[in-house]
Amino acid sequence: MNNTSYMRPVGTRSGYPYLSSLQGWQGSDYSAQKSLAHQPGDGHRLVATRASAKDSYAKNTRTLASLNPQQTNNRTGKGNTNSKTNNESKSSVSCFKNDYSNHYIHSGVLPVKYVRNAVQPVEGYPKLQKLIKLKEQQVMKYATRAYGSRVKPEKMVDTLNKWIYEDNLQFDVIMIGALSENQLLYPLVSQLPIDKLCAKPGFLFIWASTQKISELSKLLSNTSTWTKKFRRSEELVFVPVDKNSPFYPTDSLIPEEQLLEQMQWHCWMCITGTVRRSSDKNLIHCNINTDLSIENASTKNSAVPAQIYQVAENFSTSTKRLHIVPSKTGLDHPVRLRPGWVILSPDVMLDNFDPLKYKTEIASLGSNVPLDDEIEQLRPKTPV
Amino acid sequence: MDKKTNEVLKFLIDWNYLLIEPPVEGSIAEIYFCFIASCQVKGKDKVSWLQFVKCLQKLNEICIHNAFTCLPANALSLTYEDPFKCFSKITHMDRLALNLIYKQVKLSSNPPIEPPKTPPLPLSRLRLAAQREVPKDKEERLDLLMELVDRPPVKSKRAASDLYAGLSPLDIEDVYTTTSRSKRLDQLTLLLSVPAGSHILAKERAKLRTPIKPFFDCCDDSRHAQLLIPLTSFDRTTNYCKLNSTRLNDRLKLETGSSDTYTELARCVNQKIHFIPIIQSQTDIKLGDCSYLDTCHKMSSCRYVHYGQLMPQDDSASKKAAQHNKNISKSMQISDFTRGEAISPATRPELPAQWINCDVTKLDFSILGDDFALIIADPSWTIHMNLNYSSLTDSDLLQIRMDKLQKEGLFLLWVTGRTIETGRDFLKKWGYQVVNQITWVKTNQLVRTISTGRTGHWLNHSKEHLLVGLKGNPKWINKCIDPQILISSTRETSRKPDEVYGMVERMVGPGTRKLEIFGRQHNTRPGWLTIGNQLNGTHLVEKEIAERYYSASATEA
Ligand SMILES: [Zn+2]
Ligand SMILES: [Zn+2]
Repeated sequence: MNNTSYMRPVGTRSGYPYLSSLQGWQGSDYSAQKSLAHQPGDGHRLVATRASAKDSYAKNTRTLASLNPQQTNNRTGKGNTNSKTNNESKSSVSCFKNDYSNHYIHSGVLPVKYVRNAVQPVEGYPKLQKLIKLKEQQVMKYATRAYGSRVKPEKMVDTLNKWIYEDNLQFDVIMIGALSENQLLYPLVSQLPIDKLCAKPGFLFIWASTQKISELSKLLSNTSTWTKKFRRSEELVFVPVDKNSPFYPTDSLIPEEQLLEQMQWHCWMCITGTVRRSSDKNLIHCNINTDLSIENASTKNSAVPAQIYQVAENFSTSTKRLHIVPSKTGLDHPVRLRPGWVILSPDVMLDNFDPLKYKTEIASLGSNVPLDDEIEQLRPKTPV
Repeated sequence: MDKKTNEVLKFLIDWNYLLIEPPVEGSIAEIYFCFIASCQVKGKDKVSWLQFVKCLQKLNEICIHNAFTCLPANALSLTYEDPFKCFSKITHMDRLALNLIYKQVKLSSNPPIEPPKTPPLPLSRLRLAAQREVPKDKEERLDLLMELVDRPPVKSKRAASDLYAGLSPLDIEDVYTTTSRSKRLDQLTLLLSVPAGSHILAKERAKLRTPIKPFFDCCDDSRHAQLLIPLTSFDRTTNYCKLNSTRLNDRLKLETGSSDTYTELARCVNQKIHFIPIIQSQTDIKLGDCSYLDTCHKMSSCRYVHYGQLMPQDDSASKKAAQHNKNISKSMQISDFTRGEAISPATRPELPAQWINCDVTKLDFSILGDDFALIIADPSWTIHMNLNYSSLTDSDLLQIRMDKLQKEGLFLLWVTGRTIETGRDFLKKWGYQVVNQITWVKTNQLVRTISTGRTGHWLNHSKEHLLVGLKGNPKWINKCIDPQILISSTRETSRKPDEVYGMVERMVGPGTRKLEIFGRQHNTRPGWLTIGNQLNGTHLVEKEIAERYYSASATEA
């Protein structure tokens, strides 16, 4: 280690007491601070000659006066010549960028409000827009009618067991939970016979708030429940854009107890059985949606935003989809019906599910959305 | 027993221990207000304050003074002119005794009074068809309504319309909710949602101390971008567009009274950022935007659309910002609100940037001290394919003695994909509790989330996570100042957004010691010690660390 810039301190009077007192900063050693007789900064100059080096932090201080392109260029240009010595900055010259976190402190407008493709995530990409539209039409075409099954939480396990053992029902896509603080109920969810209910390969989408994530983690790593059959594959996040949004998590949140303002909802995507990205195109279509959904004007208040149902529909081609909402979601989050899904909840709007009728419908519809040449040509594909 | 006492009794049984616990805490006056707010009785049947206290006395007497334990003990035998002069409390309520009275009353009264919480019997369809009467009880009415929703349509139209008319709520009081005491519930929700004074003060303090950075809205009017194409020129060396003001002025002069397209455009150009499509000879607009935009390496031959950034000309906001920023050091000194601070930041200036170029897995962490307020680490998890670092296996990483770095404080760990769970495990093993998960929403030049390509295994990835671990219960943390979501554009591979520094510095306050592990030269900054194997040598300012570090390396040599 001989390429260091540290200069051995000369034993001058002014340097040492200050530096020793630095040790006391973190603890509550107030007396050390009181004995500080010298100007702050004396020590710095003595001990480190390179402290004022431009190549470290100097380029990060942005002055406000110079904002027209020419001057910004000068500044960035200078930054680049400096960082050339670090042999790392190969990127092109970058332009002015807003600091949305800084802006939030002064304006109170949430950073996510400034994302410019919240309404149309594939804004600017006509091919992808077409793909998403075709997928939506195809999914609609092969969707069962919207089913609701209104069942009280304490009766859910019985109902599901009846579906499994008496009606021989199985689903390929199962969603559990909703955007409500009271949703992940460990004792209930761990008792649900999901391993029997879910086909193989099968896909599970399970919701949790930031507060409940540890509970979900515990559930999914518990090897004595059904969860041992599932692998965690992706973590989806849904974000409301406004503090007045019905999806902004307000229940049971006290600012004094949160390190950061909690606003996101997590939905873990898990897989059971084997699927291959490259060859199982009749079962799954990868990389169409992203792992992030942002609320927009078309997001209706409901137990689960339509965007996330869409992620599941675009990913798995299966037509057998079930959504379990294990407890009441409240007046702000009505459990809406969705074509192609059976929704099991204590307060779903309709109670029209009949296993026999459902099976007949699936039989005539087919258990998978068939391949479509145009979609096949447009969708991002994994090289074989 | 009279009707009013019966009402009070029903109310007490309904709410029982909730009245004894905070926020009501048994205050007789508060219980009275709750009762009034929840009671539907109006007019001459309304229970007055004096009547209310009398009812309580009566109930207590029936139970031979065993129903309520009060503070003072004789609270119920005192007279209070109005509730605002009553500070007495009920500390215990004998629910069994109250329930017994209630049962007795029910048995003796004729006709029997409807119990408050008896679940209504489900109406059978046969009964319903025969009866076709709208029940009075709200819960029964809901059941009837739900049954009608699920049932095939009623044949007789007249009967149905009568039924529906009877079921439509007349006003808000008529709406059934899970608790008929919904007003009180609303009051409590409101109370809980009002932020605490300390929180408001902490936010104001953060505002005073955070420099205002220049900020401009981005124009969302796509017509503006189109109109600006002939009025601007793109400079490839700077990536900025430059406005040709003479051309814009010419258009403004040509504009007649009825149309104001260019007037509007001129105003917008002054205030907002515009992204102008750069149309080159090879550009094919039908293909849409380039996935790489400003980072495209083949911009001169790429057929997709790229954009140039046109900055607004107006600079007035920056003057106000400059004034604010000048006053920051002053507001650091005047610190009337010291909650969440270990010491006044004015006496504790930020140290200059420090760094040590080393192999983190081999560095003895006792050199660094154990008093960092905050640590941030961006390990090159094996999945990253990061060529800047030889990637670290999970077990290599776990073996680093991260547990020795802090007595109490925060540890932030960058994770993606599969490492979200591994990261959680590791933080726990190092002695931290995972308390939050920051999301970095990755955007491109146009402030749109990254959505193209194949950026993830099953789904595309437009975000990364920063796990937040907490050790101990430090009193000096400023909570809930920033949101957990951060929006920033992507830069070089694996380079993380600088906005994180602003966020975490607000969390732990100015002047605290902060450590970055696996940092590079661009991560070095005042107040931070950066360690990693991609740094320019070693630069230390704190004497103790420097001495320990050099004596250690001397013995090694
Ligand atoms: Zn504009
Ligand atoms: Zn390009």
